[in-house]
Amino acid sequence: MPDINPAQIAAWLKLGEAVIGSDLVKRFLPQIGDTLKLTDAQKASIAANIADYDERIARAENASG
Amino acid sequence: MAIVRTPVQRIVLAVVLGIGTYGCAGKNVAPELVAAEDAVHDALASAHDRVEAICKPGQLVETCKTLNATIAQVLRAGRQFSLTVQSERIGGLSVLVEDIGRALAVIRELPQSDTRERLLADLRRALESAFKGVQ
Repeated sequence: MPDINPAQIAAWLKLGEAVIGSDLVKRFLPQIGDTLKLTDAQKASIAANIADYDERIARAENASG
Repeated sequence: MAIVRTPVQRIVLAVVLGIGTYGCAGKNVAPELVAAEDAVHDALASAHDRVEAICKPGQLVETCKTLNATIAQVLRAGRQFSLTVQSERIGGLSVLVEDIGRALAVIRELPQSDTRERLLADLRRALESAFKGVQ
């Protein structure tokens, strides 16, 4: 992805999240905040990944002194 | 990104990306976001495995301190993205993209090597996976 600047995209995403996530916008488009419903299996899969992140973060922080 | 030149174009793009991030009316985006969350985790775990493989005790001490600090920050951002999805909120992508961008910049400064290229490929894969989840 040679022509994509992650910092610039992150700034646009932040602006987009701020606009779409604002109470004012949700007031007029209430369905926006209600579009992610996880199954128990999906929740368990994510929990396993978070536990793995925790272990890896601890090892990386330990190794970085 | 050359088409995005004016403030108005940037705002329009931000809103489009924001709608992409938050999902469109009524659609349950869980399958896409969970797949993205898992793919981001795989890519970041792979990057961390590579760092651990080259950073043995007593080897490349200063470089490895930097690499481990960088990968720890990216892993924290990945964890935050997972927590956001787990709590059935849609968002948090901007922080992940920002931190991966910082990590890419740090790793690009390393001397040319296979490990460097594979680390960069892992981080790009994490970025692409995250974006697939919000398309």
